[in-house]
This record gives sequence, structure tokens and C-alpha cells, in this order.
Amino acid sequence: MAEAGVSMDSIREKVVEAEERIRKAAGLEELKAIATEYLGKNGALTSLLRTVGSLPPEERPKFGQAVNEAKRSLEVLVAARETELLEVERRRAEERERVDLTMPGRAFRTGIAHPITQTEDRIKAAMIGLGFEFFEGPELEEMKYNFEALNYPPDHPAMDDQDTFYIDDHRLMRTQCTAIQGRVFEAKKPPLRVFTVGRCFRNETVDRTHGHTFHQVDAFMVDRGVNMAHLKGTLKAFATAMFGEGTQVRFRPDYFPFVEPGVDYSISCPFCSGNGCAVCKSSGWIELGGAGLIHPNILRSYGIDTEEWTGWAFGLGVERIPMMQYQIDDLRLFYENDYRFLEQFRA
Amino acid sequence: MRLPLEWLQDYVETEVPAAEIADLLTNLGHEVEAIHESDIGPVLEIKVTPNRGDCLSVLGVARELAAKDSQRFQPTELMRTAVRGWTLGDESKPLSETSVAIEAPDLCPRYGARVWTDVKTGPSSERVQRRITAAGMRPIDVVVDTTNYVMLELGQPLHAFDLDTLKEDRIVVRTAKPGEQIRTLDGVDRKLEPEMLMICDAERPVAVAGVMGGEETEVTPQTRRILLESAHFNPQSVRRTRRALNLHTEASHRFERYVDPEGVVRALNRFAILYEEQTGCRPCEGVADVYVRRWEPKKVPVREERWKMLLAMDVPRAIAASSLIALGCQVSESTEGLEATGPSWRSDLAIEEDFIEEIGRLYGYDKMPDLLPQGSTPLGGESALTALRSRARQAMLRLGYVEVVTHTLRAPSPLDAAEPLIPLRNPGSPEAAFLRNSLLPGLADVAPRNYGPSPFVFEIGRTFAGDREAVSLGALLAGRILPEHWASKQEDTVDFSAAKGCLERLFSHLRREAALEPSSDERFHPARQAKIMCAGKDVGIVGQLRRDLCEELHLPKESYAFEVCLSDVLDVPEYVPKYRPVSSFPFVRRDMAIEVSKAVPYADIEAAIQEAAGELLERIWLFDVYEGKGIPEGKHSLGVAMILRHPEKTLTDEEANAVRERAVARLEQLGAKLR
Ligand SMILES: [Zn+2]
Repeated sequence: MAEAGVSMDSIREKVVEAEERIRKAAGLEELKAIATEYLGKNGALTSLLRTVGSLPPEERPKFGQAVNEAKRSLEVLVAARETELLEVERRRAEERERVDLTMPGRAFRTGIAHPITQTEDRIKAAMIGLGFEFFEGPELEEMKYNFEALNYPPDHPAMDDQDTFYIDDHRLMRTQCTAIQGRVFEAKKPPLRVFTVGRCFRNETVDRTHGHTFHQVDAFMVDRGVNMAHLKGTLKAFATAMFGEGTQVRFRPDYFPFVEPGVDYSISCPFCSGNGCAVCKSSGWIELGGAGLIHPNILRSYGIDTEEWTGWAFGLGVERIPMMQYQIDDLRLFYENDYRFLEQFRA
Repeated sequence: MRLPLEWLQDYVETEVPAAEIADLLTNLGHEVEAIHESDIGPVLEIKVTPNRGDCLSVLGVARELAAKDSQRFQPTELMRTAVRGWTLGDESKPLSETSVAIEAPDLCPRYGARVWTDVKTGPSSERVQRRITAAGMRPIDVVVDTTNYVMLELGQPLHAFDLDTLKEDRIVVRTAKPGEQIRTLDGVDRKLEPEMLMICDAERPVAVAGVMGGEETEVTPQTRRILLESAHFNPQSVRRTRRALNLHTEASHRFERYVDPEGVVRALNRFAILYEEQTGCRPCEGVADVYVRRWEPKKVPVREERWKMLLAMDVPRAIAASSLIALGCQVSESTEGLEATGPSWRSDLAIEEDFIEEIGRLYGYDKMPDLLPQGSTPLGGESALTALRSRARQAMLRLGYVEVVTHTLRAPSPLDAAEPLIPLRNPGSPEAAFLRNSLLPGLADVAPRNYGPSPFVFEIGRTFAGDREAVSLGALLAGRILPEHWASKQEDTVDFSAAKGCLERLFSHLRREAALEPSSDERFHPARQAKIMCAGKDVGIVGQLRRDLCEELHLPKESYAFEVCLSDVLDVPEYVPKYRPVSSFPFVRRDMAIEVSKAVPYADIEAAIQEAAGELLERIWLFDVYEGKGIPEGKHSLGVAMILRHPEKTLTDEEANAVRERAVARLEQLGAKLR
């Protein structure tokens, strides 16, 4: 009996000892060694089984069962500890892979849209949204479309505002995108809503605010019963799309040979909500361009009955918009295309 | 035009401060650009639009203000006299000292003159001097200053001749005769063209009509007799002449913009009064006034319904009428509204809409509502060309290019295309004297500003050659494909395949097939360039820029470029992809290392494999090109990968191997062998 009791105690003793060592195992190697030491072929518990012969026969099954149970419980413990140790090891390995969050991201090539074309895109979206159709005219234009077709009388001082680059006696670099009007009237019948965005050229001395090349928007419509209020409303919708909700439009009389009445239009300054700032020179208003009702002489010259049809037109410069929005003070920057300039307007 | 407030107050009585007057004028369409201070008080700098010559005068501006608000701008006695016209009582009497003949009535509808004998010269009065100085003119002597004074006040330019220098004391208004010359007041000898209108004496031109007087007939301190000219000249004629002579004067500026033909004698009289005030000299009796083409008033119906419709403002008939009357129009009522006749000083009031503008202008556009147009709702959108442009631009942006906008007007460049550049007839500078025929020169200009050695830039814009204006896309690329970076271990740099790869992506974005064919463009490396063919049409060029040109243009030595004519691509119909079923069975990859002569184009290899593999070949690509050690001279080794897949079953290894063997057999016919 005493012999058997000692044996049962020795199992418990071994188990307690093994459990302690398994829990404390610091690495997988050590754990494996411990497992072998207790559970291996010549392990401490396995060896106990060999002492079973020294027990009374009736106690042998109980003893054997106890050893096997002890082995199983230790095996479970080893497996659990192994999982724990694997986890620790993985963590450690991952820790060695830690990145420096402050190192710069990989420099993939990504395109940059030019601020002028970005603005053109916004203009197009706004005008197409208002039902206008894009029409593209030539930059090297016939004199008649740039002037005569737009009701410029021959040798009129209004041409002085349009210092022109000539190619020959009949052709020039268009000085205004309004030059598409005659071409549109030749190609289409009213009702129509048309706009363009493109390059214009003027023989001007180049400085911060003048270039020999610039971009212009020109839009016009002809329909029954179209009037100045529709012009104002469309401009307001356009200005709202470009400059934000609440933008107001103001007209002042002005003169362009191709409109009658002619106005210049201003928008309420979107940068100071009309309170006065540097952009609007403290006036609360920013003059954007010229507009008016299409001159009846033009409509009639294309066989359009002005009793039935009336129309309006407006124009504005493209560069002005990003210059105001980004506080760019030199027009020439747009044409220098310095990466350090262009990348500021990534969008 | 510079307008001293003090002078304006001679014509309208007003307490309104200068800044407020400036606002009012601006809202009337006469933008006040600045208010200057002078020793006679504020001076308004007014930008007068070219249709309003009448407002290039104190009288004209005063009239506008009085028309807008007669309460705060009450016309003075002087204004009323000016409107009526001063009279000396002798206007209907002939002038015996001179005779005037107009031989070109279309160019000079009216010519008036007065004569003074025993004249006094010397400085003008302090008031005259101060006022014309404030208006921006330099005082000279009493005669010249007073002509200028009257011009600034009434808008009518005057010119004084020394009558003793005029042959036969006569004035003949005619066009120049062949070979005639004149030395103008500025001391320049000017050759005259036959269409130029001249003021002549019995023999020769003595003044360029409406532009500048002649030196020989100028008034001097020795002058004893003066002939004063006040005329109405044809605006176009004055403009053509002064442009041909490259002259611009205060007088020509006004004549070009139309001077009141009815104000000719008034100005002579105003001068006479002011001159007498300063010198005590009185004119000889009588006026020479030759008025060959009379100003004809024209009645224009101005319909109430029409002005209400166009202005979208409910301007009552009475207000419309009083506005027009205030501006000097004759107005009567009609059943439809009004009938109006514009005043003689307003050549811009010709049609109904012109009068409607005046009604709206005085009523104030601030009362106009804003409405969105109704009626037909057309389908807006991009044009086909613009749509193609947008897609090409998106493709290039996705490929990582920086978009640039360079000048259409340029100096010649070694990167110009072969066609001759179109020159401007009147360039502003040598840097902007020609129209570009290629986008590459502009791209080369800006490339050094972009990523230094590794530019990736593109532009979409117009190019010009012959009679053709086209929309082109140009791109320039060089250096590293990815920018230098700590994590980019490989130095992968741009080569022909990089340029070609971009083109392939671009064209698939545009849904057009493109192929490359050998080309011979002087700008490119002779063995590394190709024409871009789209549906049998040459639509562009791609290649390595010649290294010597790159050096000259400060570009990276190994620079590549391509240019595609989008206008031509537009003519090629877009393909519409047809759906192919996507097999759900697994694929098998088979790689081959093929040793083959470099003379055999890769396209032949791929075609051969495709032919051998048939339907089972899903994808094929070249993953390696090797030459050198182990490969005979003139040959290279190509690593080709195939993805094989069956649409309806799992492909076995044996089947895949059979495909590979068929391909190898087919390749052997090209002289290729498996390594
Ligand atoms: Zn502001």
C-alpha cells in the first residue's frame, strides 16, 4: 500500500514539477526539451509506468490510468504553452519589421493637371450643366469672323482694344473667342446654346497681368423671348457653380460692337462675401467680363428674324479665375510650367 | 480722358463729391479709373468707350450726369448756352478773308473757319493754363491753348493756321496727290498716300485733316493773321490716315470717335469769346461754313413692349421718354410706344436697340431681375473633338504625366516639324513670331523645369501647318520611370518601350488601334523612331530625340517624345469592345526561352505562337530579352510567357505541353530554337 501511495504521490510530484517548468519555458527549444524530459520515451512519467510491476496487481490499472492522465494533462499544457511561445516569437519577428512612419512614401508618377485646364474643366462642367454645347473654333481665324461678323464697322476704334497679330490681309490670330459666333450661326439654326473655351492672342506688352496669349470663355444663346434677365440669371448660375452659393451678379453699361445693350458684369466678391478685401480692391465686387444682348445686325446678317429670336452673349478670361482663387500675382507663371508652380494645384 | 471737377461745375451745379460722381459715371458706362488731385481740385480719369466720342468733353460728361439726375446736377446757364450754341451774330455772313472748297465731301462733310487779323500771341490766361494742364495738356501759347481748351470743353478739335503762310489765302479740302509730302508739327516729313485727306492751300497740303497740322503754316509769335479751322471729318478716314502715318493725337482720337457735325460753328464762336477775353482780339466778320453733307436726323420707332421684353424691366413710357429727351433725343409718342430721333452728337443711336439701351442705362440695371432661360432645352455637351481631347488628357494624367500649357507663338526651334512655320506679319517680339507646327519645342522648353533629369510632360493644343490647324497631343519623357527614392531599388529608365507603352495605353483609352511603322524624321534617332499608324493613316510620331539636339536644348541625353494628331485620330471610328466570356477554369502558364536572330521582329514570334496555340492562348507577353554571353552574335534570347486556358474544362499538363511543343515547332520555321 505504502509503496503504491508513494508511487501515486510521485506522479503528482512530477506533474507539479513539470507544470511549473512548462509555464516558465522561455522558448520553443526549452519547451521541447521539457516535454521530452517528462513525456518522451525515457521521460520521467513514462519511466513511472515501468515501475508499475512493483505494485499489487489490483492497484496497477489505477496507477497506469493516473500516469496516462498526468501525461495527457501535461501534453495539453505543452501545446498551450507552445501556442503562447509561437505567438511571442511572431510578435518579436513582426516587431523587427516595424516601419518608420516618418519615412517618405514611395514616389509613384502621378499626373498633374495644369491650373488653366483644371479651370476649363470646371467651366465646361458648369456650362454643359446649363445645357450649353461646346463648340471649337480655330485660333488662326479669318478676319471676318473676328471683326466684321461681330458688327465691327471697318476702321473702328473699338479694334484698338484688340491689338491684333495678323497673318496676312485676311487672317489673324483671334483676339476674342466671340469669333466662334459667326461660325456657329453658319452651322446651326436657333434655338441654340453654345459656348467655347480657348486661346486668344493680342499684341500686347507682356507683364504680370498681360500676355500675348490668354484663354477666354465665350457663351451665347439664341431663343424666343430671351432677354437681359436671362443673361443675368445664367451668369449668376455660372458664377455660383464657379465661386459658390450666394454669388451675386451686377451689370454696368459698357460697349462691345457685338452686343446691344452691352454691359460689363461683376460678381459679388466670394473671398470676403462683399465686405471688401485685396482681391476686390475693397469694393466687394469683381469685374469678370463683358456681356449683352447679341446685336440685331449680327442675327439679321445670318438670316435670323430678330422679331422672333433674341440672344445674349458673355465672355470672360480663364486665367483670372485661378489667379483670384490661388492669389497668383503673375500671369506668366501659367506659361512657364515650372513643376514647383504646377504641383501646388494638384487636384 | 482727364476731367477737372471744377470745369465740370461750370456746366452743372453740383455738391456731389468727386468719388460719388465717379461711381455715377461708372454706372452710366463711363468708367472712372482714377481720381487725381490737382491744384484746381479733383480730376476724374474717365475711360470713354469708343462709341461715345461725345463724352470726350466737359459738355458731354455734364450732359450724362444731368440726364441721370437733373436734381443733383443742375445745368448751368453756360450749359444752356453751349447746347444752344454761342452766337456772335455774324454767322450767316460770308467771310471775305478766305475761301473754303471741299473736294472730298464724303471725307469732309463740313468745314468751318473764322479769321482774325492783327492778332496778339503770348501766354494764355492762368485759368486756361491751369485747366488744360489738369486735363493733361501742356500750355504753349494763347492760340494753341484756347483751341485745346475748346476741344476739351466741347469735344470739337480746332486748328489755327497762320493765314499769311497759306497760298492765295485759300483752303482746299482734298485727298493727297501722288508724291505729295508734308512736314507735320512734330517736325517729321511724311509721305502721303492718295487716299489721305489733306487740308491744303492753293498749292500744297498744309495739314493732315483731323490729325495734325503742318509745320510751315503753324502759328508763331510773328503771326499777324489767323485762320481757325473747325470741321467734321469722316471717322474712318481719319483713323486710316493716322494709322498709316502712325500718329495719334487728341484731335484724331476725337475725330475717329465722331465729332458733332452740328457743333462746328459753335466751337469757332466759343474760341472767339475765350480768345477775346484773353487778348481783346475780335474776329473778322463772317464765317466760312461749307456744309456739303448735312447731318440727317432719323426717326426710329422704340416700342414699349420691346424695351420691356429686352430689358426685363417695367420702365413706364413716360420715364423712357424723359430719359431719351434728357439725352438730347427728339421724342414723340406713337401707338406702340415712342418714336425717337438721336441728337447730332450721337452717331451710335441708330436702331431701336440702341435707344432701348439708353432707356435701361438711365433707369439702372440694378433693378433688373435674374432669371434662368426657359423655352427649348437643348442637350448640352462636349463636341466630339473636345470629348476625345478630354479622354486623351485623362489617359496622360493617369500615366503620370505633368500637363503643361506652352505658347502657340514661338521662335523657330530644332524640334519644329518639317513643314514651314507660319510667320506673324506683325510679331510683338522674336520669341513670339511664328505659329508652332509641333508641340515638341514647347515641351522641350519646359522639360528642364520639370523633375530636372526625369521629365514626364505633355500638352494638348493646336498646331499649324499650311492651311491646317489641328489639335495635337505631345509628350516628352526621359530619365527614371519612377523618381529617385529610398525605396526604389532599381534604376528603371525611359527607353523606346516606355514611350511605346504610353502610346499603347493612350490608344486603348481612345479605343483606336495603333501600329508603328518605320519613319525618317530628322528630329529623332534614325533607328529608334516610328510613325504612328491608325487605320492606315499616319497620325503621329514616336521616338528617341536625337542626342545632339537634346544637348543643344539642355534636355536629358536619352529623351523620348511622341506627338499624336488628335484631329486625325478623331476621323478613325472608335471600336466598341465586344464581350468575351470569362472562363472559370484554371490557367496553365508556360514559359519559353527562345534563341532567335535579332533580324526577326518580335511581332513575327508572337504571331507564330498565337497561330500555333490557337484559342487556348489567353495572354502572351515578353518578359525577358537577353543578349551576350552564351548567345551567338546577331541573336538574342527572348523569354516569352503564355497563359493557356480552356473555356470549358481544366487544361491538363499534357495538353499545355502539347501547345508549347506546337509553338516551338512553328517557331523553328522562323529559325528560332528553344534554349
Ligand atoms: Zn473681396
